[in-house]
Amino acid sequence: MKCQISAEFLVVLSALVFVFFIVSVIYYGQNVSLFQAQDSTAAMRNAYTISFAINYVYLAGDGAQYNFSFPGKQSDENITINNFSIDSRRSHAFASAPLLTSEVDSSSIENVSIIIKNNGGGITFEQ
Amino acid sequence: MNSNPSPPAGKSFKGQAWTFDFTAGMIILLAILLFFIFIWNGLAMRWNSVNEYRQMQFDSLFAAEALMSTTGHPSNWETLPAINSTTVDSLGLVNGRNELNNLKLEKLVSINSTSYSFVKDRLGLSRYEFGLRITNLAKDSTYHDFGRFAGPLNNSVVFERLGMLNGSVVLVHLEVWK
Repeated sequence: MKCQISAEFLVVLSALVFVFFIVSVIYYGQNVSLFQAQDSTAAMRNAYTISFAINYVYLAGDGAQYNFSFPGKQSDENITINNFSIDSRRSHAFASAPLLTSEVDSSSIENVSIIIKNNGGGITFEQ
Repeated sequence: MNSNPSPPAGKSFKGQAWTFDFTAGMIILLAILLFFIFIWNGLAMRWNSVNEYRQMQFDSLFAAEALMSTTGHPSNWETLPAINSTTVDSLGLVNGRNELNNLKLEKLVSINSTSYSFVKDRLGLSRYEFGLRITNLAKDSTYHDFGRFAGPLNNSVVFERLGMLNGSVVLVHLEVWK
């Protein structure tokens, strides 16, 4: 007997392949957006965590200091201090949090453990 | 032996998968997938809006703290002829904690039309709108008014704090909205 692949089988197979393709595209799209959302959330969390620490030390007044540890920082994450803001830049995300002062003696945060001090209204770091 | 049998009566040797069952199954599968995508996107949007509101709360808290617990920098910023980014580093409205300075409040109100954006920036509220109102405790008399206030439908963050102004207790109403 000859092998017989019917037209119906081909139609069903193509329908299955098409459905599988659609599901794959959806899965890939959702996976990418989930990854970006996670990265964005982490960047925002880190920017706000540092901003809280600096703002609290600033508001506490001259002489205040805080030992700040920062376990969520990734090695490839750049945290910079700009004019009245803390910026966190990751590979797929960027986030910014406000600062109440621009008198900060450093332009970036490199270490995961730092001491934030208020010296006469200006913020200094011991990294 | 018959090498080419004929099907039994009423039956066929043709493929039988392309049936109503199969198409119905595909449609249901796609409907379920679409349903989950919509649910997922809805949850993501809701989560984002909750997150944004929390950020607005944190930013408002720091703005209120800055206004009610610092003098600003320089501490005599209210006496400067021009209020801008080169002359004023930070803003505060008190002499000591919660002790409001009337001159600072009058200066803030006087720059409402010209320096609203600058004041927002210095309070870390550049992404939002905000309004500040000083009233008596009964809220029937307004002493000072600055900024823009949200209508009743806006999703705003409101802080109300007590302060001292010219020897009497006042209510400081800070409203931040988007």
